[in-house]
Amino acid sequence: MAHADPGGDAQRLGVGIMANLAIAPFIAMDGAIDYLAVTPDMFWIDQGAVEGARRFKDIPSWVAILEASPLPKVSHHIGLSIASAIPTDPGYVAQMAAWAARWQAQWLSEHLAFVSIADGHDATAAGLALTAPFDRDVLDLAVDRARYVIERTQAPFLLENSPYYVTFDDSDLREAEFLNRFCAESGGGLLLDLHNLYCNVVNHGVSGHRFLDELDLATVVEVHIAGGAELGGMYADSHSGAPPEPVWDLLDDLVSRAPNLRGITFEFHDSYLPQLGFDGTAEVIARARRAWDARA
Amino acid sequence: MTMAAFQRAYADLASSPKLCLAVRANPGEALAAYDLDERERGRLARAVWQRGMAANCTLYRTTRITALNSVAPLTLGLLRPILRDVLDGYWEDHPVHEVRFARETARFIAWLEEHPSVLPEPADEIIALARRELALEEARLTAG
Repeated sequence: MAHADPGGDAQRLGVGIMANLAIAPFIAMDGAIDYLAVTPDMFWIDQGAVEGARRFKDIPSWVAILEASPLPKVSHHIGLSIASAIPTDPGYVAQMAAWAARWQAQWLSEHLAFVSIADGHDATAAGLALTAPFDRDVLDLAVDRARYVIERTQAPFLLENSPYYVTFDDSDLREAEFLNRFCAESGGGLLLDLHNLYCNVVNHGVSGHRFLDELDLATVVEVHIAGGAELGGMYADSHSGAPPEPVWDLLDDLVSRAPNLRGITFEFHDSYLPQLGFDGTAEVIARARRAWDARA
Repeated sequence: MTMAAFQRAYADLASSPKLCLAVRANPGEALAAYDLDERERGRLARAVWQRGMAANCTLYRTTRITALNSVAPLTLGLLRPILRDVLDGYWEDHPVHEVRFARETARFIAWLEEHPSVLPEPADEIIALARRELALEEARLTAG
Protein backbone atom coordinates (compact mmCIF):
# COMPACT_ATOMS: atom_id res chain seq x y z
CA MET A 1 0.00 0.00 0.00
CA ALA A 2 1.56 3.31 -1.02
CA HIS A 3 0.97 6.13 1.42
CA ALA A 4 2.25 9.69 1.73
CA ASP A 5 4.51 10.25 4.71
CA PRO A 6 2.16 11.52 7.47
CA GLY A 7 5.16 12.78 9.47
CA GLY A 8 5.62 15.68 7.04
CA ASP A 9 8.67 17.77 7.89
CA ALA A 10 9.08 16.36 11.39
CA GLN A 11 12.62 15.35 12.35
CA ARG A 12 13.73 11.76 12.89
CA LEU A 13 14.28 12.03 16.63
CA GLY A 14 15.48 8.65 17.92
CA VAL A 15 14.51 7.37 21.38
CA GLY A 16 12.55 9.45 23.87
CA ILE A 17 10.72 9.16 27.15
CA MET A 18 7.36 10.29 28.50
CA ALA A 19 8.06 13.30 30.71
CA ASN A 20 7.07 13.30 34.36
CA LEU A 21 8.33 14.89 37.57
CA ALA A 22 10.20 11.80 38.79
CA ILE A 23 12.17 11.38 35.59
CA ALA A 24 13.36 15.01 35.44
CA PRO A 25 16.86 14.28 36.87
CA PHE A 26 17.32 11.49 34.31
CA ILE A 27 16.36 13.54 31.28
CA ALA A 28 18.68 16.33 32.43
CA MET A 29 21.70 14.03 31.91
CA ASP A 30 23.52 14.78 28.68
CA GLY A 31 22.64 12.27 25.95
CA ALA A 32 20.27 10.25 28.15
CA ILE A 33 17.47 10.54 25.59
CA ASP A 34 16.85 12.18 22.24
CA TYR A 35 13.45 13.81 22.83
CA LEU A 36 10.66 14.36 25.32
CA ALA A 37 7.14 13.11 24.82
CA VAL A 38 4.83 15.36 26.79
CA THR A 39 1.26 14.79 27.89
CA PRO A 40 0.27 18.47 27.95
CA ASP A 41 -2.87 17.75 29.99
CA MET A 42 -0.57 16.89 32.92
CA PHE A 43 1.15 20.28 32.67
CA TRP A 44 -1.91 22.48 32.86
CA ILE A 45 -5.12 22.85 34.82
CA ASP A 46 -8.27 23.02 32.72
CA GLN A 47 -10.43 25.35 34.77
CA GLY A 48 -13.39 24.97 32.44
CA ALA A 49 -15.24 27.86 30.91
CA VAL A 50 -15.08 30.70 33.44
CA GLU A 51 -16.16 34.08 32.18
CA GLY A 52 -13.31 36.56 32.10
CA ALA A 53 -10.71 33.99 33.15
CA ARG A 54 -8.15 31.97 31.24
CA ARG A 55 -9.39 28.41 30.87
CA PHE A 56 -5.98 26.67 30.80
CA LYS A 57 -3.45 27.50 33.46
CA ASP A 58 0.15 26.21 33.64
CA ILE A 59 1.30 24.09 36.57
CA PRO A 60 4.60 25.95 37.12
CA SER A 61 6.55 23.10 38.73
CA TRP A 62 5.78 20.81 35.78
CA VAL A 63 6.31 23.41 33.07
CA ALA A 64 9.74 24.13 34.60
CA ILE A 65 10.86 20.67 33.40
CA LEU A 66 10.17 21.66 29.81
CA GLU A 67 11.72 25.10 30.19
CA ALA A 68 14.91 23.47 31.49
CA SER A 69 15.19 20.97 28.65
CA PRO A 70 16.55 21.87 25.20
CA LEU A 71 15.37 18.52 23.79
CA PRO A 72 12.84 18.34 20.94
CA LYS A 73 9.29 17.72 22.13
CA VAL A 74 6.19 15.93 20.91
CA SER A 75 2.65 16.37 22.29
CA HIS A 76 0.71 13.32 23.44
CA HIS A 77 -2.84 14.30 24.41
CA ILE A 78 -5.45 12.55 26.53
CA GLY A 79 -8.35 15.01 26.38
CA LEU A 80 -9.43 15.34 22.74
CA SER A 81 -11.73 12.32 23.01
CA ILE A 82 -11.48 11.68 19.29
CA ALA A 83 -14.13 8.93 19.23
CA SER A 84 -16.75 10.78 21.30
CA ALA A 85 -20.21 11.18 19.83
CA ILE A 86 -20.43 14.71 21.20
CA PRO A 87 -19.37 17.97 19.57
CA THR A 88 -15.64 18.72 19.38
CA ASP A 89 -14.41 21.08 22.09
CA PRO A 90 -12.93 23.98 20.06
CA GLY A 91 -11.32 25.50 23.16
CA TYR A 92 -9.40 22.30 23.77
CA VAL A 93 -8.20 22.11 20.17
CA ALA A 94 -7.13 25.78 20.33
CA GLN A 95 -5.10 24.91 23.41
CA MET A 96 -3.54 21.93 21.58
CA ALA A 97 -2.44 24.32 18.84
CA ALA A 98 -1.14 26.95 21.28
CA TRP A 99 0.82 24.36 23.24
CA ALA A 100 2.33 22.81 20.09
CA ALA A 101 3.41 26.24 18.86
CA ARG A 102 4.85 27.22 22.24
CA TRP A 103 7.04 24.11 22.51
CA GLN A 104 7.54 23.61 18.77
CA ALA A 105 6.10 20.13 19.05
CA GLN A 106 7.22 17.95 16.13
CA TRP A 107 3.82 16.28 16.06
CA LEU A 108 0.68 15.75 18.15
CA SER A 109 -1.08 12.53 19.02
CA GLU A 110 -4.21 11.21 20.73
CA HIS A 111 -5.66 7.81 21.64
CA LEU A 112 -8.38 6.01 19.70
CA ALA A 113 -10.91 6.21 22.53
CA PHE A 114 -13.61 8.32 24.08
CA VAL A 115 -13.20 9.93 27.49
CA SER A 116 -16.08 12.42 27.24
CA ILE A 117 -19.73 11.40 27.13
CA ALA A 118 -23.07 13.15 26.76
CA ASP A 119 -24.74 14.45 29.90
CA GLY A 120 -28.03 15.92 28.73
CA HIS A 121 -26.98 18.74 26.39
CA ASP A 122 -23.57 19.00 28.05
CA ALA A 123 -20.51 16.76 28.23
CA THR A 124 -19.00 14.99 31.20
CA ALA A 125 -16.03 12.72 31.85
CA ALA A 126 -16.44 8.97 31.37
CA GLY A 127 -13.84 8.43 34.10
CA LEU A 128 -11.68 6.17 31.93
CA ALA A 129 -10.73 5.81 28.28
CA LEU A 130 -13.06 3.42 26.47
CA THR A 131 -12.59 2.02 22.98
CA ALA A 132 -15.62 2.31 20.72
CA PRO A 133 -16.53 -0.45 18.24
CA PHE A 134 -14.54 -0.27 14.99
CA ASP A 135 -17.56 0.96 13.07
CA ARG A 136 -17.75 3.13 9.98
CA ASP A 137 -19.64 5.90 11.77
CA VAL A 138 -16.96 6.02 14.48
CA LEU A 139 -14.31 6.18 11.75
CA ASP A 140 -16.08 9.10 10.07
CA LEU A 141 -16.25 10.94 13.35
CA ALA A 142 -12.56 10.38 14.15
CA VAL A 143 -11.51 11.39 10.63
CA ASP A 144 -13.49 14.65 10.79
CA ARG A 145 -12.03 15.49 14.18
CA ALA A 146 -8.47 14.70 13.06
CA ARG A 147 -8.84 16.88 9.97
CA TYR A 148 -10.01 19.74 12.19
CA VAL A 149 -7.00 19.29 14.51
CA ILE A 150 -4.58 19.18 11.57
CA GLU A 151 -6.14 22.33 10.11
CA ARG A 152 -5.96 24.20 13.42
CA THR A 153 -2.49 23.05 14.49
CA GLN A 154 -0.79 22.84 11.09
CA ALA A 155 1.24 19.95 12.50
CA PRO A 156 1.32 16.18 11.90
CA PHE A 157 -1.36 14.35 13.87
CA LEU A 158 -1.11 10.70 14.98
CA LEU A 159 -3.74 8.31 16.29
CA GLU A 160 -2.68 5.76 18.91
CA ASN A 161 -4.14 2.25 18.93
CA SER A 162 -5.67 1.49 22.32
CA PRO A 163 -5.79 -1.54 24.59
CA TYR A 164 -9.37 -2.74 24.94
CA TYR A 165 -10.79 -5.02 27.57
CA VAL A 166 -14.28 -5.44 26.11
CA THR A 167 -14.56 -6.58 22.49
CA PHE A 168 -17.34 -5.93 19.98
CA ASP A 169 -17.02 -8.85 17.60
CA ASP A 170 -19.65 -7.52 15.20
CA SER A 171 -17.74 -4.30 14.44
CA ASP A 172 -17.96 -3.14 10.82
CA LEU A 173 -14.17 -3.22 10.40
CA ARG A 174 -11.19 -5.06 11.78
CA GLU A 175 -8.94 -2.88 13.95
CA ALA A 176 -6.06 -2.73 11.44
CA GLU A 177 -8.47 -1.86 8.62
CA PHE A 178 -9.96 0.89 10.78
CA LEU A 179 -6.52 2.40 11.45
CA ASN A 180 -5.46 2.15 7.79
CA ARG A 181 -8.62 3.89 6.65
CA PHE A 182 -8.24 6.55 9.33
CA CYS A 183 -4.79 7.45 8.00
CA ALA A 184 -5.83 7.33 4.35
CA GLU A 185 -8.90 9.52 4.88
CA SER A 186 -7.64 12.01 7.47
CA GLY A 187 -4.05 12.61 6.37
CA GLY A 188 -2.94 11.65 9.87
CA GLY A 189 -0.52 8.91 10.87
CA LEU A 190 -0.19 6.24 13.52
CA LEU A 191 1.35 6.22 16.92
CA LEU A 192 1.69 2.47 17.21
CA ASP A 193 1.72 1.48 20.87
CA LEU A 194 3.28 -1.96 20.89
CA HIS A 195 2.43 -2.57 24.52
CA ASN A 196 -1.23 -1.77 23.87
CA LEU A 197 -1.04 -4.27 21.01
CA TYR A 198 0.57 -6.78 23.38
CA CYS A 199 -2.29 -6.28 25.87
CA ASN A 200 -4.72 -7.23 23.11
CA VAL A 201 -2.53 -10.22 22.25
CA VAL A 202 -2.63 -11.47 25.85
CA ASN A 203 -6.28 -10.66 26.53
CA HIS A 204 -7.90 -11.55 23.23
CA GLY A 205 -5.53 -13.89 21.42
CA VAL A 206 -4.73 -11.39 18.66
CA SER A 207 -1.56 -12.23 16.70
CA GLY A 208 0.76 -9.24 17.14
CA HIS A 209 2.95 -9.94 14.12
CA ARG A 210 -0.07 -10.63 11.90
CA PHE A 211 -1.54 -7.33 13.07
CA LEU A 212 1.65 -5.61 11.88
CA ASP A 213 1.27 -7.40 8.53
CA GLU A 214 -2.25 -6.00 8.16
CA LEU A 215 -1.24 -2.42 8.97
CA ASP A 216 0.07 0.05 6.41
CA LEU A 217 3.38 0.50 8.23
CA ALA A 218 4.26 3.58 6.16
CA THR A 219 1.76 5.41 8.35
CA VAL A 220 3.69 4.70 11.58
CA VAL A 221 5.49 7.83 12.77
CA GLU A 222 5.99 7.04 16.46
CA VAL A 223 6.11 3.87 18.56
CA HIS A 224 5.36 3.48 22.25
CA ILE A 225 6.91 0.75 24.40
CA ALA A 226 5.95 0.07 28.02
CA GLY A 227 5.37 -2.58 30.66
CA GLY A 228 2.14 -3.77 32.27
CA ALA A 229 0.62 -5.91 34.98
CA GLU A 230 -2.27 -8.25 35.72
CA LEU A 231 -5.51 -6.55 36.70
CA GLY A 232 -8.65 -8.47 37.58
CA GLY A 233 -7.73 -11.46 35.42
CA MET A 234 -6.62 -9.37 32.46
CA TYR A 235 -3.30 -7.86 31.43
CA ALA A 236 -3.39 -4.08 31.76
CA ASP A 237 -1.38 -1.26 30.21
CA SER A 238 -0.20 0.05 33.58
CA HIS A 239 3.17 1.49 32.48
CA SER A 240 4.68 -0.27 35.45
CA GLY A 241 8.21 -1.02 34.26
CA ALA A 242 10.40 -2.30 31.44
CA PRO A 243 8.69 -3.75 28.35
CA PRO A 244 8.25 -7.55 28.34
CA GLU A 245 10.17 -9.61 25.74
CA PRO A 246 7.25 -9.97 23.28
CA VAL A 247 7.09 -6.16 23.00
CA TRP A 248 10.80 -6.07 22.10
CA ASP A 249 10.14 -8.78 19.48
CA LEU A 250 7.37 -6.66 17.96
CA LEU A 251 9.66 -3.62 17.97
CA ASP A 252 12.44 -5.52 16.19
CA ASP A 253 9.92 -6.75 13.64
CA LEU A 254 8.50 -3.27 13.08
CA VAL A 255 11.48 -0.92 12.81
CA SER A 256 12.85 -2.23 9.52
CA ARG A 257 9.37 -2.16 7.96
CA ALA A 258 8.26 1.32 9.04
CA PRO A 259 10.02 3.73 6.65
CA ASN A 260 8.57 6.90 8.16
CA LEU A 261 9.27 6.10 11.81
CA ARG A 262 10.50 9.22 13.66
CA GLY A 263 10.74 8.08 17.27
CA ILE A 264 10.44 5.33 19.88
CA THR A 265 9.02 6.50 23.21
CA PHE A 266 9.34 4.65 26.52
CA GLU A 267 6.32 5.25 28.77
CA PHE A 268 6.22 4.50 32.44
CA HIS A 269 4.31 5.86 35.41
CA ASP A 270 6.39 7.91 37.82
CA SER A 271 5.19 5.92 40.84
CA TYR A 272 7.12 2.89 39.51
CA LEU A 273 10.48 4.70 39.31
CA PRO A 274 11.66 3.26 42.69
CA GLN A 275 11.36 -0.26 41.23
CA LEU A 276 12.86 0.56 37.84
CA GLY A 277 15.46 3.11 38.92
CA PHE A 278 17.50 5.32 36.61
CA ASP A 279 19.77 2.35 35.76
CA GLY A 280 16.77 0.29 34.67
CA THR A 281 15.47 3.23 32.67
CA ALA A 282 18.85 3.63 30.96
CA GLU A 283 18.84 -0.09 30.03
CA VAL A 284 15.44 0.27 28.35
CA ILE A 285 16.63 3.34 26.43
CA ALA A 286 19.84 1.56 25.37
CA ARG A 287 17.92 -1.45 24.06
CA ALA A 288 15.45 0.78 22.22
CA ARG A 289 18.41 2.61 20.64
CA ARG A 290 19.78 -0.68 19.37
CA ALA A 291 16.43 -1.34 17.72
CA TRP A 292 16.39 2.21 16.32
CA ASP A 293 19.89 1.79 14.89
CA ALA A 294 18.84 -1.45 13.18
CA ARG A 295 16.44 0.43 10.87
CA ALA A 296 16.96 -0.35 7.23
CA MET B 1 -28.23 10.35 18.87
CA THR B 2 -27.94 6.62 19.45
CA MET B 3 -24.11 6.59 19.29
CA ALA B 4 -24.02 9.16 22.09
CA ALA B 5 -26.51 7.09 24.06
CA PHE B 6 -24.47 3.94 23.46
CA GLN B 7 -21.28 5.60 24.70
CA ARG B 8 -23.12 6.97 27.73
CA ALA B 9 -24.52 3.54 28.57
CA TYR B 10 -21.15 1.84 28.04
CA ALA B 11 -19.44 4.36 30.34
CA ASP B 12 -22.19 3.97 32.94
CA LEU B 13 -21.66 0.20 32.88
CA ALA B 14 -17.90 0.61 33.27
CA SER B 15 -18.51 2.73 36.35
CA SER B 16 -21.18 0.57 37.95
CA PRO B 17 -20.94 -3.16 38.73
CA LYS B 18 -24.50 -2.82 40.03
CA LEU B 19 -25.76 -1.71 36.60
CA CYS B 20 -23.78 -4.54 34.96
CA LEU B 21 -25.57 -7.06 37.17
CA ALA B 22 -28.92 -5.45 36.41
CA VAL B 23 -28.24 -5.74 32.65
CA ARG B 24 -27.27 -9.38 33.11
CA ALA B 25 -30.55 -10.02 34.91
CA ASN B 26 -32.82 -8.06 32.59
CA PRO B 27 -31.14 -6.18 29.75
CA GLY B 28 -34.33 -4.74 28.32
CA GLU B 29 -35.36 -3.17 31.58
CA ALA B 30 -31.90 -2.07 32.74
CA LEU B 31 -31.08 -0.36 29.43
CA ALA B 32 -34.56 1.08 28.83
CA ALA B 33 -33.47 4.58 29.87
CA TYR B 34 -30.98 4.77 26.98
CA ASP B 35 -31.96 5.61 23.40
CA LEU B 36 -30.31 2.53 21.86
CA ASP B 37 -31.01 0.65 18.67
CA GLU B 38 -31.23 -3.13 18.64
CA ARG B 39 -27.59 -3.67 17.66
CA GLU B 40 -26.31 -1.38 20.42
CA ARG B 41 -28.57 -2.96 23.03
CA GLY B 42 -27.38 -6.43 22.00
CA ARG B 43 -23.73 -5.37 22.17
CA LEU B 44 -24.06 -4.08 25.71
CA ALA B 45 -26.15 -7.06 26.83
CA ARG B 46 -23.31 -9.34 25.66
CA ALA B 47 -20.52 -7.08 26.94
CA VAL B 48 -21.61 -7.34 30.59
CA TRP B 49 -20.76 -11.06 30.48
CA GLN B 50 -17.18 -10.41 29.36
CA ARG B 51 -14.41 -10.37 31.96
CA GLY B 52 -13.24 -7.20 30.20
CA MET B 53 -16.25 -5.36 31.60
CA ALA B 54 -15.19 -6.37 35.11
CA ALA B 55 -11.69 -5.09 34.26
CA ASN B 56 -13.23 -1.79 33.12
CA CYS B 57 -15.10 -1.51 36.43
CA THR B 58 -11.85 -2.15 38.31
CA LEU B 59 -9.99 0.39 36.20
CA TYR B 60 -12.69 2.97 36.79
CA ARG B 61 -12.54 2.49 40.55
CA THR B 62 -8.75 2.51 40.50
CA THR B 63 -8.81 5.83 38.65
CA ARG B 64 -11.18 7.37 41.17
CA ILE B 65 -9.20 6.10 44.15
CA THR B 66 -5.96 7.32 42.54
CA ALA B 67 -7.39 10.83 42.33
CA LEU B 68 -8.16 10.91 46.06
CA ASN B 69 -5.01 9.08 47.08
CA SER B 70 -2.79 11.44 45.10
CA VAL B 71 -4.12 14.44 46.99
CA ALA B 72 -5.00 13.02 50.42
CA PRO B 73 -2.91 9.86 50.99
CA LEU B 74 -2.75 10.28 54.77
CA THR B 75 -6.53 10.61 55.05
CA LEU B 76 -7.15 7.57 52.86
CA GLY B 77 -4.56 5.64 54.89
CA LEU B 78 -6.45 6.43 58.08
CA LEU B 79 -9.73 5.32 56.50
CA ARG B 80 -8.29 2.09 55.06
CA PRO B 81 -10.29 -0.31 57.32
CA ILE B 82 -13.59 1.29 56.25
CA LEU B 83 -12.56 2.76 52.90
CA ARG B 84 -14.64 0.45 50.73
CA ASP B 85 -17.89 1.33 52.50
CA VAL B 86 -17.03 5.04 52.58
CA LEU B 87 -16.25 5.14 48.87
CA ASP B 88 -19.30 3.07 47.94
CA GLY B 89 -21.42 5.68 49.71
CA TYR B 90 -19.58 8.59 48.10
CA TRP B 91 -19.75 7.09 44.62
CA GLU B 92 -23.44 6.32 45.04
CA ASP B 93 -24.06 10.04 45.56
CA HIS B 94 -21.47 11.19 43.00
CA PRO B 95 -21.36 8.56 40.24
CA VAL B 96 -19.55 10.80 37.76
CA HIS B 97 -15.78 11.14 38.16
CA GLU B 98 -14.33 14.66 38.39
CA VAL B 99 -11.10 14.41 36.41
CA ARG B 100 -9.46 17.33 38.22
CA PHE B 101 -7.97 15.61 41.25
CA ALA B 102 -8.13 18.64 43.56
CA ARG B 103 -11.79 19.24 42.72
CA GLU B 104 -12.62 15.56 43.19
CA THR B 105 -10.97 15.67 46.62
CA ALA B 106 -12.74 18.89 47.58
CA ARG B 107 -16.05 17.25 46.65
CA PHE B 108 -15.14 14.15 48.66
CA ILE B 109 -14.32 16.28 51.73
CA ALA B 110 -17.60 18.16 51.38
CA TRP B 111 -19.38 14.80 51.23
CA LEU B 112 -17.59 13.63 54.39
CA GLU B 113 -18.72 16.81 56.13
CA GLU B 114 -22.30 16.00 55.16
CA HIS B 115 -21.91 12.38 56.32
CA PRO B 116 -19.71 12.49 59.44
CA SER B 117 -21.35 9.34 60.78
CA VAL B 118 -19.40 7.23 58.22
CA LEU B 119 -16.15 8.26 59.90
CA PRO B 120 -14.56 6.94 63.08
CA GLU B 121 -13.83 9.41 65.86
CA PRO B 122 -12.43 12.00 65.92
CA ALA B 123 -14.32 12.67 62.68
CA ASP B 124 -13.74 16.43 62.78
CA GLU B 125 -9.98 15.93 63.00
CA ILE B 126 -9.97 13.46 60.10
CA ILE B 127 -11.81 15.99 57.95
CA ALA B 128 -9.36 18.69 59.07
CA LEU B 129 -6.46 16.46 57.98
CA ALA B 130 -8.06 16.00 54.57
CA ARG B 131 -8.47 19.77 54.26
CA ARG B 132 -4.80 20.31 55.10
CA GLU B 133 -3.75 17.77 52.47
CA LEU B 134 -5.96 19.51 49.90
CA ALA B 135 -4.41 22.87 50.81
CA LEU B 136 -0.95 21.37 50.22
CA GLU B 137 -2.03 20.13 46.79
CA GLU B 138 -3.45 23.54 45.87
CA ALA B 139 -0.17 25.16 46.94
CA ARG B 140 1.78 22.62 44.84
CA LEU B 141 -0.27 23.42 41.77
CA THR B 142 0.52 27.12 42.00
CA ALA B 143 4.12 26.95 43.26
CA GLY B 144 6.92 27.89 40.88
